[in-house]
Amino acid sequence: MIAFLRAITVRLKALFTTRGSDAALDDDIQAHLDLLTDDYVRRGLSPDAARTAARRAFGGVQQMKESYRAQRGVPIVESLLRDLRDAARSYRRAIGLTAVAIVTIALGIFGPTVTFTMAKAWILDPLPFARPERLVDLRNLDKRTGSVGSVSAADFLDWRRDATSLEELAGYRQADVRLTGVDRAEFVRGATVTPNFFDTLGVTARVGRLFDRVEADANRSKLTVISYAMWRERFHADPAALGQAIRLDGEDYTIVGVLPETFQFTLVGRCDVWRPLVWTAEQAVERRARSVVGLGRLRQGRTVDEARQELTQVAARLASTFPATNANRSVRVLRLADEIRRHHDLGFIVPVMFAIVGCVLLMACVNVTNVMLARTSTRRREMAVRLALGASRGRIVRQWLVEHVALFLAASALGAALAVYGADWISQSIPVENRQYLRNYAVLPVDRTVVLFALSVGALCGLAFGGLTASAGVRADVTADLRDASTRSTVGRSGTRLRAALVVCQVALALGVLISAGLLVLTARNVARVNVGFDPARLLTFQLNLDPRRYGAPADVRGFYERLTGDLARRPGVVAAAAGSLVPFGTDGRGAEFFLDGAADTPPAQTPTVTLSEITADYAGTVRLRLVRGRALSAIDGAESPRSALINETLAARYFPNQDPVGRRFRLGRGTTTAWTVVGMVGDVKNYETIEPADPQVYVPFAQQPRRAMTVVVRTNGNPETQAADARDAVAAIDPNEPIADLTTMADRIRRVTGPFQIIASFVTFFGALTLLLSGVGVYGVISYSWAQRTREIGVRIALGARRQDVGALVLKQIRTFLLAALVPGLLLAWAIGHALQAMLFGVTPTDWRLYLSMTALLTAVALVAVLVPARRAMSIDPMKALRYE
Amino acid sequence: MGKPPVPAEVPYGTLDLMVLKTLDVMGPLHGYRLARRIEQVVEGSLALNQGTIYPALLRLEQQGWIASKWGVTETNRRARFFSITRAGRRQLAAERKGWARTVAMMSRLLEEQ
Repeated sequence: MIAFLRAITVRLKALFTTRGSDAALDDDIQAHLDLLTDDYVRRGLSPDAARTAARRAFGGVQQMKESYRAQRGVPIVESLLRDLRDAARSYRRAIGLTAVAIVTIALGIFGPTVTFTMAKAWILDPLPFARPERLVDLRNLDKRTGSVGSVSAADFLDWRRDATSLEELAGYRQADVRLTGVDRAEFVRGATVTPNFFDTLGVTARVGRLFDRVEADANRSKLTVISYAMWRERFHADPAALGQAIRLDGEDYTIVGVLPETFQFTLVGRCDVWRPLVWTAEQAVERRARSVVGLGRLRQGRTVDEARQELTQVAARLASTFPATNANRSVRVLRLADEIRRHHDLGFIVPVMFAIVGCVLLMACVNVTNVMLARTSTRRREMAVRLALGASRGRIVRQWLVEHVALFLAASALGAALAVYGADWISQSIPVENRQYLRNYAVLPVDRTVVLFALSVGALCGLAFGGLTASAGVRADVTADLRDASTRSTVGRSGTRLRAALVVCQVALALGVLISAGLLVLTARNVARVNVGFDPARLLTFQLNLDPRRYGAPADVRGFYERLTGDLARRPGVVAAAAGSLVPFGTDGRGAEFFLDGAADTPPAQTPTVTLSEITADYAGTVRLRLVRGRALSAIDGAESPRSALINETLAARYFPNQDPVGRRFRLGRGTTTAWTVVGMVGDVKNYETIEPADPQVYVPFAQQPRRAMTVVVRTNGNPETQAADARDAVAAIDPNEPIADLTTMADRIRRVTGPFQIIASFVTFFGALTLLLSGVGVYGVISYSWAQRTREIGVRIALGARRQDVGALVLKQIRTFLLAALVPGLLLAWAIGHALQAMLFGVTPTDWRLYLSMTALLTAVALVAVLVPARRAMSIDPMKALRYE
Repeated sequence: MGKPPVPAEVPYGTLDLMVLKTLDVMGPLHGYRLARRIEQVVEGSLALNQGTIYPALLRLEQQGWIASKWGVTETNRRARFFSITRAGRRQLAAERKGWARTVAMMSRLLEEQ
């Protein structure tokens, strides 16, 4: 056995080193001939005669080399190469057919390859940190509601002190900053992190250094690490940037380092400025304000479960020691990779995607297999001749498989090339704002692993479908085939049956794909069509967050926004302008505890929270809220006027059921005495997701409760994007030091939420169309082939008096048989896939009978169109010709 | 009649055995010395095309019975020197036994008349 392996390795090596090995043999031969010649010279021959004699004694050099090479090569590989050459030749003979087959399989392999590219980039690839499997995400868990969120500084420090299962515990929070001292003030995305944050991740600086423990000292915290992108854009990648100061939120921070180009912590999105998070003594004992998220590194050999158990105990201890703040508080520990995965909108659909594109791939394979089977009929004589000449059946089966695998591999390469465009399309379709939260900024590289995946899938399909059809293709009756002089011999009953079975499978798969694709398309349509509760068309939005040092007094804040909205509203092309502290489809927004006026404060556990939004006078008119009762807020609700508020329908239904809420009063916030009077009720608005029910919401006049952080909305006559420059100018005219953020249209904001659904819908629409095409072609191929085979029979039938309609009815009967056979498995498949994707459906149930019916009808129609041509051909057969045929 | 006996062709399969035996006795040799040595031993009773030993050497090397190493010949040419391996010696012993059996069998068969 060992000797055998050794022989194989030596031979295989020889296969790839033919050249070197030939040179060695040449050396040997030359040395040999020299010595022989010398010998002859010593025996007295002239040098010329000696050389001739030497050659004679050596024998034929070429013959010897031939036999040497034959001995050296690997017969299997060489005959495989011969098979490949044969395959290439036979494919060249049918170049059109081959091209169609390759494109068909390539389209089939395209789907799984693109899906795998997503799965790899977003799910399978390990996070780009040191030993990422030991990184865990730690958050506060509210045991009453099950909601998770940030943790307070004091709790965080206690976790860090008591958790022995963690080697490191770092904290971070997103903290955007205003960058001033540059041409134009600007908001920069940033985060503050405990000094051990980068150590915990195992990241090192590209230039300079990151934070170390020393910065834990509050005096030295005015340091910053910047992103590679910022370093390149603002400092032209100049190392001299280190040590320079930049002005962040009005204070100078010294740049100490630059992060690597590839560094990305998706949970905070793209951050350009990282600052150390340092708590003062009183901040360090704060348990009420929860603002950081934990990032831990498990100690070597400890598991996530151990850490979870330990931290849950720590949290339980804190809950009993500090019941006022920590009652019902626990901790949620997840592997960091799992937490990140949860945020990948498209990641969760990958398994279903695989099911759908897998069906499409199978269909493509079936089509090609049918074509290959049809070709066998014309190649039967070739095979029969080969069998008669002594080729073994195994040899012919091998040739058959080689032909298939070669074809499928060529198609896989094409499929992988298509996948580059597919992956790029998906990546480009993702709204820019969403990309920063996706691994690698949503870039989906079709790398070596992906190509390898495509090739393996192709090779497997080639082997499977080649093997499936080998028996039918190769089971040749030598004598019969040789005797049959015509080229129209049939594949035989087994081949025909196999083709019919394949086409039934194909129709069933098509039904499954079409219905599940339909579910996803309907979902996307429903998501996009949801009534958001206001008019989102032609709205421009941007955010401001006034500098607290320069806008300390409420009157200043009020003055700024009143002037800004008034200024904007007067500009040409603008219909109205207003501002709100919570504008739909943004990230801002906050809640307030809600008490009916006259009721005492209830414990936090029993107190409802409502969404609170401060709005300027024209807000309801600008976004076009639907006024249901009472009046909207307006200029009369000034700073000194009675406190008035708008509520939405959900709040009214929940807290003022079956009564007119106008005139009712409530308080917002624990321990407050201010009572707000409801002056009107407006329709519900979707604030974050289109598919979630609205929360109870309160609108109060900005004039009575001014806020520095507001989102400005501008309703325009035409395309709102053309007003973007105007908006910048308007702000700069009032205060050039106030940066604006997230300047975009409302339509864009909504797309950030509905985008993933649209991408999925486009993706499955493409494959649904492909499915229809493939099944149409498949049905056409099989029916037209089988009727071409029966030309003679039909001729006889017509000669015996059958009418042409009868012939047409026969064709229809056959297609009906196919469809009926495919119906039940197809609907079952659709049912299974539909239930698997239930979680991502909206406004449609996985067993929507209308969809089942319409897709079945669609597929039937396609099948009928596909048999139109073969049916007409069969009906127009001339019996005389048909009987002379063959 | 005065016709000289025609040198016989190398019987199939015996060349390998000759090569192994020669290498076993003589130690490492390059192709030419090996061929010469075989010719000397069989004293012209075989028509050996010297070139035919190279495919044989390759075959033996693939079996792991001999090994080769680069060296320099007397005429200062680069050539491979072949030596027998331990597996080769075992094979030689086995074949020698087999050969003896075959010869004994053939002798009995041919003399029995």
